Amino acid sequence: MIKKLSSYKKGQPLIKNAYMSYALFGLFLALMPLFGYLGIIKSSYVTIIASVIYYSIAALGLNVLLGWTGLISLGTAGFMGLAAYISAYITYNMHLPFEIALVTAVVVSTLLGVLVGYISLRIEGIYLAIATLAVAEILRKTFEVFDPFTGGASGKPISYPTLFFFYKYSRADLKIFETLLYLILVLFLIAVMILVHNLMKGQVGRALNALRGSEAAAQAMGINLLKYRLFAFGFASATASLAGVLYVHYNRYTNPDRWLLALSLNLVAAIIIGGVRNIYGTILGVFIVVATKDMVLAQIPYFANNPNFALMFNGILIILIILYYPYGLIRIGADLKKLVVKIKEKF
Amino acid sequence: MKKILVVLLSALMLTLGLTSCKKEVVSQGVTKTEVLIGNCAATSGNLANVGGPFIAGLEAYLKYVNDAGGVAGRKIKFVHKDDGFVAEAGLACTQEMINDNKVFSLVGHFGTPTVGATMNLLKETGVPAVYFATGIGQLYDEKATEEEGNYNLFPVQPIYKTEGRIMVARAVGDFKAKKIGIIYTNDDAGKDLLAGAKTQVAALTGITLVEQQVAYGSTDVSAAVTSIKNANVDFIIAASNQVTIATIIKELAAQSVNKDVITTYVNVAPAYASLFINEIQGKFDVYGNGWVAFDATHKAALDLYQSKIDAKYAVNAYAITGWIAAYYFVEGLKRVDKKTLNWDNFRTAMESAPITNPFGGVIDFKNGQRLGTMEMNLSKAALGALNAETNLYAGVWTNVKDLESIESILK
Amino acid sequence: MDELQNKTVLSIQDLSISFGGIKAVDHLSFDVDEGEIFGLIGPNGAGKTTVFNCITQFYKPNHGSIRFKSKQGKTIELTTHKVHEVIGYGLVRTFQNVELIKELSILDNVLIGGHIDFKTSFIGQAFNTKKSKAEEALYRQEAIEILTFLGIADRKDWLVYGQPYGILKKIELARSLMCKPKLIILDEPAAGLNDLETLDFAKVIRQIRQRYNCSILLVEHDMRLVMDVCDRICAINFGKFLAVGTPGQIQKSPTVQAAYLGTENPA
Repeated sequence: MIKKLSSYKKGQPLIKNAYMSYALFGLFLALMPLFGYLGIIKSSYVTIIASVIYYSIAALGLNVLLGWTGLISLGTAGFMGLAAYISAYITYNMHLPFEIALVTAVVVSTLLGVLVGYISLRIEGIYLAIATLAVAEILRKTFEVFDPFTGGASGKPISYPTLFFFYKYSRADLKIFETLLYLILVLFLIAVMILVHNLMKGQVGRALNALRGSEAAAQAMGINLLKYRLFAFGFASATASLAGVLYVHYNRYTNPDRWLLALSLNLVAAIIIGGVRNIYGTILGVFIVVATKDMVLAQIPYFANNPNFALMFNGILIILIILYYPYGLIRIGADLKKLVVKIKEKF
Repeated sequence: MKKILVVLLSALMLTLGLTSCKKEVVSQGVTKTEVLIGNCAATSGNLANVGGPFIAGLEAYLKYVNDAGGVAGRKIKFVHKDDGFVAEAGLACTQEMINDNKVFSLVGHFGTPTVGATMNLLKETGVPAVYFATGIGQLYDEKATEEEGNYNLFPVQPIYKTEGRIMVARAVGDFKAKKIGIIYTNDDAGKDLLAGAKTQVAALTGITLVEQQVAYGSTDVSAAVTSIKNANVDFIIAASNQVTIATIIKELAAQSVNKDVITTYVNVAPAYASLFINEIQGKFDVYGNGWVAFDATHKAALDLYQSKIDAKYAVNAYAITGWIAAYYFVEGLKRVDKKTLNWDNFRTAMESAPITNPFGGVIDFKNGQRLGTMEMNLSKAALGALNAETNLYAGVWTNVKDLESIESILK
Repeated sequence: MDELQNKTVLSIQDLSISFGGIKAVDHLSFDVDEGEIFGLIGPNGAGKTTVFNCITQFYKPNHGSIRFKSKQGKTIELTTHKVHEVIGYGLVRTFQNVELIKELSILDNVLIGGHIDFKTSFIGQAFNTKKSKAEEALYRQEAIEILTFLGIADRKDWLVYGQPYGILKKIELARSLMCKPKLIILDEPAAGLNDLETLDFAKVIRQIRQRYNCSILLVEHDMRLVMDVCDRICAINFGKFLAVGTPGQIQKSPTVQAAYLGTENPA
């Protein structure tokens, strides 16, 4: 199942069955709370890893839109926030179960995304970027102003929702709910990874690639541009919505300042530095953008004492990666493999 | 014989009862020689110029206390980590403080996103938190209990809801108003001030409140001002922070709504008075709350502070609040003194008597009161230096009333 | 709309299109027969590409009709259809600039040509159902067969990026064969090919016609390929019809000669 490095062939993945690799990865992530409990890692790292997980979910959908289909959206944060607030309200104010809130929030937010996708057919490139940005800004302003629903600028704190339709939250079950929510996060990430994998390697993925590579060829080959654009936007907003719902229920809080352009740009950056059109690359990119400062650099005393320099370092790192690895850091794997082959040849 | 036996038995049971009391255990973060505290103040990004000085002031006071031998034989150790003013990073950092570093108490919990995201965590773990560098409404609790509410949270910095109450007290107590108009922005500052004002009006009789909302950051508030003018109020509360206050005051002047105005403490800085001092001349006065004072009565405190702090923070308001935050925590420690240092005793100590801010008024945490600063002073916007070129005056704030509680104002 | 006669597969009648006052195509008419290799020639700017785009519905003509005998046997008026519907009827095109997707493998590029054959829904593909897997395997096999037929199957998993030009043209041809076309329209297929490659290409065109029993419409600039491989040729200039006939007839046509070479006695 796991090929030995010595018999490695060009183009073959290291773990033969992709599904197996996703499952193993999911298992690894699922063990994090245990590691935290045992003191192998800091307990706060579980929260940071959780943030890598939900941002990766949004980034995977964005990669489908930007990486595979070549359409720019700067509105990701807006859709995340919208779904977060809707789900928060449905569980906390309307006392409905988590699953209902999740489906409602994702459906509403995705419909908005599909609407934006429909409008996108008329606009290209930079204008599309600005249009999506405008949508996100309108949403953010709504979060600030519509405060019977959102709590306004000071944000909306909530409690844990009822899980599986019967498990009501009480303070005694705090640890259980914390862990359950984390495992739900991991499950959704692996599910989205598998979904993206399945869709992108088949007819849908080829159609999206064609849309990106040559609209003329795509149309000549019978690909309905509108249909696939709508799909791409819909998928990206669905994953962003899912990520927003998971965010607000894991952190039990959200505020309007979380859903700014900066977040949308960070997710675009994450995809680019991690690897466009690459699933593990997306997660790697999100890790670099989101977790480096608090997990990796914080270990180094200089950066722990000078967090502004840590921020700068993170930014410079991103620039360097784009300069020298424009196809994403994940391709480092390919280069290492070439190195292995070279070394093998020498002996 | 029987009587002696009964007496002896009772005495035995009594002593046994007393000594078999549950042995008190120290809470986390406490050793014989040290007590550990922490916070997640933002020292990077936009808020770095608030977080940095805040930490400096806090550390300066701790050093002052530690140099003098600490409290009850323990030195106070302080750790902090930057969370960049981001909610989920603040959550992770606070978890680290409580679960990994195992601090005894948070001191100076910082920023609306972080505090908002960790309210659940703080209440669930029961870790004490002294001083919050934010004034959000969720910190307001009139009767916190151990089962629910903000029992272990001790806010010091003014909470807008409390300040709203004080504004009404001033309007009624000092300005004898019966009908109060309130123009409030639709952000959390404006709405919390409104909520506080409504609470206080409900507690009084014969006072009416006329409300007008304006958009936060709006450039045109004429409609709201006209409504207030037509309502013929006695006094006006301008419930807005720095972003919209000038627009509101100038519109009141433009429409000659010549009634006195009071606004929140965040606007009491020369920069903001300068924005409207010229327009209000000959029409009405603008007043503002304050919670720290540097007058003669507090000179000793100011001298001490300035002798211990880095020169560049000598008059930095954020550094002073850090100093105050540490002060409040140390007060609690001092009251626990030689008793077992655990969370229960600390909470009881904080509630046992009012604590006086070295730079300001008194806060009483008794019986679950968690209102933040309960005493504020009053300043009036006045003319400062005249700019010869523009022929406009700069604005300053002059103190007109000392720190008073709501009860004292209304007497 | 009249049904096309037995031997006609494409009938262009009175086709006109203007761009901002300039008539790019002016009342053009010609027919293409079943199993025919037909050439459309004209000097630069004659309007060949415009005709091409009108047929394939990348442009909508102002006037005229384009009737096509679909592979399902029905006569359809192409101008009433959207550009991405055209291939469904068995009319497929290539591009002068060879529009392939560089980051995909050769095999994936060919599979794009079979896009409309896939019936599995989004959900089916998302969950990788048996049906989805079966379809994918089936069309993969077809694609490999086409690549074998064109002699480039050995590099099927390589990326398109970096392939030599001649190979790129074959890949595009392979892609167009996935839909089992009735009519293939080739857009300046000889562009960028040397003499040897052009001869080879002519051979391939004939093989395709025979294997798929389809018609091929060449829009071309290069006379050698056209004269070599076409059964009939239509010549146009300034968007207008000049002449139609066998290669021999076209070569001898005075109107065609005048258009290409100029008249003997300049005015």
